[in-house]
Amino acid sequence: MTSTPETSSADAPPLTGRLRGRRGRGGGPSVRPRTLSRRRALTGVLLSLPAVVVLVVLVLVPAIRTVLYSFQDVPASGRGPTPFVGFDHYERVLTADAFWHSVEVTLIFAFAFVVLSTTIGLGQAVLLNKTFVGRAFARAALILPWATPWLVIGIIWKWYLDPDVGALPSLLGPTGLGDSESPFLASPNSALFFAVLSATWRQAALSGLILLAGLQAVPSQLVEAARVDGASSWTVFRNVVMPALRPVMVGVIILNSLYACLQFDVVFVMTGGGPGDATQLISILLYRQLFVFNDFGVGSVVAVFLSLGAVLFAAVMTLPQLVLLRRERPDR
Amino acid sequence: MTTLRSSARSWSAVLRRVGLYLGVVVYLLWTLLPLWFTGVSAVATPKAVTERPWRPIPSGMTAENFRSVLGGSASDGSGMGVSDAGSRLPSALWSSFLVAAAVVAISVSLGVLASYGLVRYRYRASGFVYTMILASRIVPAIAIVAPFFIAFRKAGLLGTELSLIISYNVFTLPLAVVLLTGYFRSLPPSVEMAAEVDGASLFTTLFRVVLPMAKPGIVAAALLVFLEAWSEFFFALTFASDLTVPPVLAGMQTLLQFGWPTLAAATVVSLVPPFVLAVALQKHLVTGLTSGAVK
Repeated sequence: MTSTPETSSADAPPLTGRLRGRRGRGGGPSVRPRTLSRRRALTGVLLSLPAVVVLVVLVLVPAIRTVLYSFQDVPASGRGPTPFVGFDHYERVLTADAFWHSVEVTLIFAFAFVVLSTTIGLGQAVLLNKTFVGRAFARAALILPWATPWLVIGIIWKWYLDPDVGALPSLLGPTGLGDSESPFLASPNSALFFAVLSATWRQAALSGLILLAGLQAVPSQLVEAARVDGASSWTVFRNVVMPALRPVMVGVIILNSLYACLQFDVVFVMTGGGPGDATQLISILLYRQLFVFNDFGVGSVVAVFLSLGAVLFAAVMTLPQLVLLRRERPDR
Repeated sequence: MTTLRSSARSWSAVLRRVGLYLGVVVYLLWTLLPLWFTGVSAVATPKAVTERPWRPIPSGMTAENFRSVLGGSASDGSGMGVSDAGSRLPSALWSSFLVAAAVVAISVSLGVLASYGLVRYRYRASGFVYTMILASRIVPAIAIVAPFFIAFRKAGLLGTELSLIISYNVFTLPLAVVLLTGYFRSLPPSVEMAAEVDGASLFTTLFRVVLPMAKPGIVAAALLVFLEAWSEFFFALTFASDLTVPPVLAGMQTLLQFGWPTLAAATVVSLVPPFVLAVALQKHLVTGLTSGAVK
């Protein structure tokens, strides 16, 4: 109590300070570490304050505003009264066929995107974890799709699939898939499929990079021991490698699911939501409501549904892996 | 008998080897062919680009496509400037670079302070604060665009670099905090403690001891933030439709007077900074990706 914290706190490393306090000769000295830890806590608060303030202003406030907008009539100019209209906008969205069609398209897109990105990513990771000539080059190549912006991917694949100048229709020509009768982005079903495939090109690379790092962290003694015991490579992969990789898989699937629901750039630039409304994801519908129809109220309802839907979708997609994780490690 | 068995084994080994290299070829085609296609289209003459069947190396090559997008002469030919989207690329490159650099500066410096505080100076709410920052990474930027748009319109910021510098922090700041927190956690605190014992002030410790030690983590965070800012399209489209590279590319795509070779050249130019950075800093990148797990 008598010693001022200033003289002692500067030269006492925090751990010993805490230790001394716990031992506490008499009642007095325990005050010292408490003031010390209070000062340290204050430093922590001050250091994180700028980032917290920025994020409150840039994320929390707009998020609350969006929820409020969904109950209001909002003039696009941002000026004038914004009367509350209750659940009017919600009713309009939930009774609109266009919205439900978008939900369906988004679900198909998102499910295919997650499955393809995760399995192709896992395949790439397993392949790049083997030993072969040119592996360093092959690994470096996986960085490139990831470093390509989503929008640029949309542009590249749109032309890559173009019947007149694209490489893929020409290369697939002999198989019959590249005939002009199978119009890659021109027919509704194939347009959705190729939009998924284009977006998967990047996400599979990202999944592959993360899963490869996960594979490299699997203890090699475990794999060797199983091999020595005569297990086939498939058994080793299923029963040794996959359980060790499971937590990384969970992370990758969450990531892929969130990206799936929020996908905008690739589809916007490849098909613009078409042909017709075949590839009109909720994100594209949202963009149209806001910036084509200038309806910020209805747009905000779509935004609320999209945010909640993305989290829900990620949870559902991750569930099987979590169940397996539980089963493999009952101690958890 | 033994020779038979061993030859069978060696045959299966050979088959495995063949299968492996087949897999490698398929992988390289899937990963690199779209990029190769774009690269050769960018140097192809207008005649060579429509050649069927497609040739991996075009019959006619030219640098004209690059000259037109970089020299700003990519027009519709009418000379009336119906659209000057092509000539916007050089200035868009500059704007993109400016925005990305400013976003890196803000997100990384605020991120360093916050993560250092959250890791080394824990306080009662620091766990909660970290979780909230992590959660803010999940809030989709698309979903909160309307309030930004209205605020920027009122403030007269639509169409400016500043609108993008502000709004990009929505996703880059949480990214920086997550990456750097992971990195600071992996650093041993003993050196900083020694500095503290020697009477160094908080900021001396931070700048002289912590930052040099944390350099790989900071480089990884700066790189990932730069890439996100360079690639961002949605905010760029809605707040400043023809300022940065991605919306300018999208604009060129919708204007049919640009042939694919010209667009391909512009695309290649836009890919140079991210590709150079990503390949040069490959090692940093992978640690960043795996420690962050988000993104």
